[in-house]
Amino acid sequence: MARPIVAENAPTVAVPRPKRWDHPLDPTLTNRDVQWLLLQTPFREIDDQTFPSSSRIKDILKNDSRILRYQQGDLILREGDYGGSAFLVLSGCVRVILSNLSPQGMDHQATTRKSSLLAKLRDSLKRWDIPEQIVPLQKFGTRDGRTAIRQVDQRPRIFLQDVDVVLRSCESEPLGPGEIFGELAAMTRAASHYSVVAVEETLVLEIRWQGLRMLRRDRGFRERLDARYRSNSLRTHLRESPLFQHAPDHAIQEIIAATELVSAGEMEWYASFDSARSMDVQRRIEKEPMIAEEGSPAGALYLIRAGFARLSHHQGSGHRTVSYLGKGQAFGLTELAHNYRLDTAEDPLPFQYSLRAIGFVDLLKIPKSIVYEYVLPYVRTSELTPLIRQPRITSDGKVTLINKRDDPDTSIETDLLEFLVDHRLINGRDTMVIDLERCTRCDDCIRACARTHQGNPRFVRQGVQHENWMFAHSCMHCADPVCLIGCPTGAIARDLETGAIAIQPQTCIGCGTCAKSCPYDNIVMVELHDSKGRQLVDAKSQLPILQATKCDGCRESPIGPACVAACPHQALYRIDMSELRTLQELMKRD
Amino acid sequence: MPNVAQLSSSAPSRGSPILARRLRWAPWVTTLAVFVFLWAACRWLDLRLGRPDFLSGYVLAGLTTSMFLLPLRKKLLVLPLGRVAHWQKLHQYVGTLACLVFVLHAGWPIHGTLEICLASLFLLHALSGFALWYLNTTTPRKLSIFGQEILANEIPRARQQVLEQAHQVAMQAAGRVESHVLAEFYMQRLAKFFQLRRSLVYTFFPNGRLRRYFLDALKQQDRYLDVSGRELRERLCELVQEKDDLDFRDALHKRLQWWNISHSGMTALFVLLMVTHIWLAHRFHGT
Amino acid sequence: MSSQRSHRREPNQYDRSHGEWTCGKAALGDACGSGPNARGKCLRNECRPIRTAFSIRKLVRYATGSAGLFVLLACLISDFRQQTFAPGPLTQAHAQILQGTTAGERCATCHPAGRLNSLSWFASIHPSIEDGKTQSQLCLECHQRSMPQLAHGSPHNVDRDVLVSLRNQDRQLAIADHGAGATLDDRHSLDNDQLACSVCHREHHGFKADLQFMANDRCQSCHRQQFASFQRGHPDFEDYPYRTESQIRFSHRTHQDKHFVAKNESFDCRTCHLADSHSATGNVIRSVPFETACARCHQQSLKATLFDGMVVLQLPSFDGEVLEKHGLKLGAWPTSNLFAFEGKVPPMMRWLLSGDPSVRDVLGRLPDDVDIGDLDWQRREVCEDLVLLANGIRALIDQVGSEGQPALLRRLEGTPGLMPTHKHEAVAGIPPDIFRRAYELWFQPHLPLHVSESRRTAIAQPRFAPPQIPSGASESDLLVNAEDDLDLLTDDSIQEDAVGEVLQKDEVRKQLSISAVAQGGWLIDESRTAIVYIGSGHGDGLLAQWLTIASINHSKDTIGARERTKLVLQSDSPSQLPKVPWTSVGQPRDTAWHRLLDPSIHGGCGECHILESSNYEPANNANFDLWHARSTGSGSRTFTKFDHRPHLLLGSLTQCIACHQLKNDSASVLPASVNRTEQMQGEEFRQGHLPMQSEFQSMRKADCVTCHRVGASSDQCTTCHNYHVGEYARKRHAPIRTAVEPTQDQGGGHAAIR
Repeated sequence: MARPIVAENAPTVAVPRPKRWDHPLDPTLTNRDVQWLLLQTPFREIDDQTFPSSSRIKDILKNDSRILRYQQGDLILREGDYGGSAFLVLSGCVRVILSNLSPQGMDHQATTRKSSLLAKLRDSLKRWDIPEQIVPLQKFGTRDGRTAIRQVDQRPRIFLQDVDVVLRSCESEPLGPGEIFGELAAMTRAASHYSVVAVEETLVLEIRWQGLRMLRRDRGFRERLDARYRSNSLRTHLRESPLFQHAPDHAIQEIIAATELVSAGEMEWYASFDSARSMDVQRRIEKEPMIAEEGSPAGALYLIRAGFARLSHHQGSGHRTVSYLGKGQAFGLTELAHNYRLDTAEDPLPFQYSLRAIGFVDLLKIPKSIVYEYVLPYVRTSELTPLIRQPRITSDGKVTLINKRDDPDTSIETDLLEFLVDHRLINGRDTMVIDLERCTRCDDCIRACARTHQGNPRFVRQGVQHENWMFAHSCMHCADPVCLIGCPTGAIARDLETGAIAIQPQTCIGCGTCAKSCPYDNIVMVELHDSKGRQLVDAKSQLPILQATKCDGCRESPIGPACVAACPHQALYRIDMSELRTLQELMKRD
Repeated sequence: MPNVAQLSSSAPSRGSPILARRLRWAPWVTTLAVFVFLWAACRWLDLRLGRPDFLSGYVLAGLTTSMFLLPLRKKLLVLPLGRVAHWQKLHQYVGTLACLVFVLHAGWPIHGTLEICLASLFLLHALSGFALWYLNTTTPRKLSIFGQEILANEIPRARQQVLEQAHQVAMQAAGRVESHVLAEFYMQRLAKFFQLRRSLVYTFFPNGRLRRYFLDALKQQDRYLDVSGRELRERLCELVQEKDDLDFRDALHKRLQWWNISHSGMTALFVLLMVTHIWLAHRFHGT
Repeated sequence: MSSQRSHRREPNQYDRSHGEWTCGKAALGDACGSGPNARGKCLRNECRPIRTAFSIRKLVRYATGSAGLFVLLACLISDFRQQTFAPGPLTQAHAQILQGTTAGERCATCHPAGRLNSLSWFASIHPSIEDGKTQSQLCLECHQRSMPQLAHGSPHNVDRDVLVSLRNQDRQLAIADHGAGATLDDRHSLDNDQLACSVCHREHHGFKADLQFMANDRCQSCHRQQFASFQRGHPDFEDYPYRTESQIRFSHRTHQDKHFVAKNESFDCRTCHLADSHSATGNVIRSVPFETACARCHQQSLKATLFDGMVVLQLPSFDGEVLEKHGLKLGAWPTSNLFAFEGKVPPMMRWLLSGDPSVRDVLGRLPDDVDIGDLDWQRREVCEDLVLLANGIRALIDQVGSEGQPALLRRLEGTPGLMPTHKHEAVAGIPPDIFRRAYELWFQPHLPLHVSESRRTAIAQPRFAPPQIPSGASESDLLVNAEDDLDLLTDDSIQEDAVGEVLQKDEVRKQLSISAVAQGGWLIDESRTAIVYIGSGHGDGLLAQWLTIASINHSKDTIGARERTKLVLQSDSPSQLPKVPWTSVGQPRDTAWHRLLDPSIHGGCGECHILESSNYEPANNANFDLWHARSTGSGSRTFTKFDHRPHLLLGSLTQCIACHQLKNDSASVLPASVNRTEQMQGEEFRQGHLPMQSEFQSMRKADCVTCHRVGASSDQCTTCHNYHVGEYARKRHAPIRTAVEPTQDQGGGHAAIR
């Protein structure tokens, strides 16, 4: 790897190298607290020697955790929450409310309330005089009377108005001191399946995922976590995949036992996103952590559980991206299925492509033997991928060039693929794509958007372009919505019905975390006005009161996105990037 | 249930050919057929001493009224009535049909003050409509050749930036004797160009005449310039091109806006005259 | 990629140029995040927001709309409204007519809607609600003199029933009556009875527009038989243009072959049929007036026929003694008529008497041409009848003498099927004092004859004595008259006086002979004790009317035409006599009336005029005309039209016979309508051979096609065919007396023969 050469005469200035833990999660955490923590349940058993001297367990706790105090009724974790932290009950008691509770009941922030057609029509025809007018105050603060916001330790907390009623109405299980929850969501950046509410004055230790990963070094701790994962969600997760549809229970058992949890890449990819984007493509690809390399024997089947992975192969001196895999897709299935079916005379084919983690990816790795024994036998041959007629890499590792024509992977141009990957547009579930060779810049889309959002547009008709395709600054409702991380009130969340990411104005306190963490600059902080058009400012600081706004996918409208419906020239589309096929058809259309 | 094959890494297959491409001619044929039918009906009525004018007139009135379905659709956006794009297509075909029916109804020559006004208004709308049709299909390509998109209302700012950069370049040039010529050239000619606001003629017929002129003129300066001076000159050329591109974009945007205004700016007047015409026809046709 | 990044606008705020107003500082790139409000006011009072193109469009729309509305209303209210709202200039004629009118009433002249003031225009969209007039009616207010008014809404102005019958009847008939392919084949065309003038006559299409243009296929849209052009497919002519029956018995053939040869004169069409025979292209006279054509030869014979006058009224003579023997009193009666039963009841008198109920049945018992001398006057009832008759006659003379024409009219009341016009014209010019004089002369109580005579002459002198003694009064006349009187006088005591009186009387009588009114007029004929009318010659109105009435009653008879003509020949069977009182044809040949009617008499009216009103129908007998060449109403307009003048310009057509050629077979020497009277000379009638068509050969389409075809002269339907047909609004009792044919109207042969 070529290092940049610094010219001798160039002026330099010496600064201390930035280190991890420069910015601890909670600077106010004192050593006494840490000491006290080390006496608590899980940390007692942890053997401090297993950790390197650079990062002792106390350091981890000091930097990557904080102690939070919850009062009765406070919501600690919300179903669908997209957290980056695990929680450990220190004292008091919390109850885990399982997901069968209706979102409304839990007042999940982003539940769709389809307002009546007439109301929408009235709104769209109404002349909105004041831009970004605040929602009437009586709505503000209280939501359905179920929950409200209050300040605890100068932090906003959402709390259940009458926790007893809620708890009575739904099944829940208690967690006592020493119990840990939310770790799965934290490790895999998945949405939490359950909500957790404090039923009494409770102390909770929040450990952010970085710390959690380091704690996993301890064998006991790790096994504890993995056991929890396997017992809780791995089974259901496998069952969801068509591969294991027909596998009998004992087979599933075996698979669960043998499955290895792999995660690669940096979890905070969006932080280094911009710098990475400015990097040269080849270097970036090489920088990406390799999960499985082409030519290496196909020893395992990889199932992607979260994040994205790049599918590429050597081309000349560089790498050519063939495709990218998202959640639920599998790598190596083709090769394994091929080897499984061919007669023993032939040597097994190695991996045809190499798999690299884009940003952060979390996979399940199932060994070949298990696959042969418990997976493939239970899959219909008709559903399996066809045999590989022309292997790129034969069993003896010889690479044969396949002429473009009958290469199955030329379905979409490589540069477009790489463009999508580089800008992380693959993340989009509902990306706005504009065909610049059709768009007359009439701004009807913006007008429509404004008319369906109280006279305020919710996107900017600009963005990165590839050839004549523009990916406008409109929320893509990502598969990996990093904007959700760290929202203090959970005002921004994924709508469980439509899958759209939406912000609840009543709940948003305008902290701007989401806007900062959105790598696509698709969230805009706007200044609020009252009904007379006067700007709202904070009583204390006299600073303007902000609110995070973005495209909500018109989830309340009966016709879906207004921008798509309003475009007179069929230039504007909303595309699910995980479905490459739709993108291809769009590009082929003329 | 998703197929197992879809899980694997192999790329998805191609999409099927689009039906719309095959049926592209269908609406035209329909339009023509409707017109022919109407023409025959009018002739039949005329031969039977009927009143074909009323038939064609009311059909024409109906068609022109149905032109307003498009703006109406845009207004009632939230109603589930299909995409605006489809209504746009309908608008175009019905508009074409209306033009044919207009010829059938009005004939030639057209007498009468009111009728002449009405007809000229109709023609104005038809003309601007077809112009928009053409521009809507051609302009986007022209706009998209410039790479990065710039919003129409940000062009002045971009222009300003270009002007400032050009000014800085000129200042640099002025600082050195070898490239002083460049600074003079800038003061005499280019400065005006960078501040130039293009005329209406240019708005309707944007062209690269000035651009070519100034680029040539700048190249002429080379023989007075040393290497670094030429670099500055190169930079100026880029800026000239950038400025001209901005003007070009602006012109394209404005041209569309002008046609838009002429297409939908007179609708109220047109409807007024149309109603008057219909009503007079009813009052004064011989009975 | 990096380049894109650098260009990329950091969307820390939305682009708010979607509304009607955008931030005034947007152009400089530092637009505020919120932008102005919808009323174009900057929320922070930092900038002056600017309108977006979107709102400029809106602005223009409102501006133009309201301006247009203002102008429109101004025009509506002001007097400019004609100039503004007239859909185009009028045609020359209409424009000239409306030249003088004020702007206010210009529209109203033709449009009912225009009659209202501009504001009440908004009242309703349906025209012609005010004062109930439709626009077509307004057209007809000017055009009714030249336009058929009858059912103007229906196609061809023909009633729907007629059209339907035309459609249903056999095509041959249709062609025979109304030209080829005339049968309508379209229900729409039949049911549409609301055709407005404006459907075809489209105004406001410019100064020079042709209001009468009619496309050919417009005709063919209704007419069943469709064809490409006049040249191709148009059916050939059938006896065109000689279809219409003439009411004059005139045979070109016989005149050309016999009479003109006899007088060795050249038979040239133009001498009679051209208005001025010098110019080849003069107006063509179709029905030649009597004066120009016939008078030279037929005047004399007519005079001769009329010479000894028509006996209007004659006293029969009775034998007073016989009456006394029967014990009957005759009452006042001239002594000269008391010597024996003698005399007949002349038709005119019989007719007038029939108005008197007391006499009618007597007349019924008394056959027409029976002389009362032949009656069995020995029987008493016969004599009673005669006395009743005498009283009737006396009453008649008395009434007419004392009341005048009203009395006559009263007596005509009973006559069936007689229009008032006919009655009035029938009694026009009958002088009552003739009757009074006659009454005094015959029925005054018996004074000494000379006294009465002297008084009579004293009165009679100025009235009856002609200015000078007619040259015709010769010695022989005197003698004859003297002898007559001598015979009349009985030898009694006062003979000398009587002789003196007689001489005086003779002188008076000599002056009062027929020759005294040779040029026509009234006379009391002492010798016949009769009131006589001498016709003034051709075109005598009184005679014409009486003969018309005669023929009307004639045709009202139920007996068919041929039987009637038999009656004319041998009317000796009283049983078959018509019921009606006036039966002129029933008279024996020797009465003057009969001589006038009898076609066989040379010099009678019947010789040339067909006096059987075969085409008489009560429906149209107001227009009924026996005497003129054609009985069709003078205002009628047929489907086919023809103008001679342009054709006469062609050298090849200057000779009439180029088109009008006589048929060769001698069968067709007489016009069609003659066939009903069998007793014309000419063998073919005796053999019962009845010619139906004209004596001229029909024209051939081929001849017309030589010029009238595509590329040459016009072959439009409307070149030869009228759309509007039927009766004109004009009353026909003011017929066109000029002999000149009305231009361009072949069917309208309403020229009179005088």
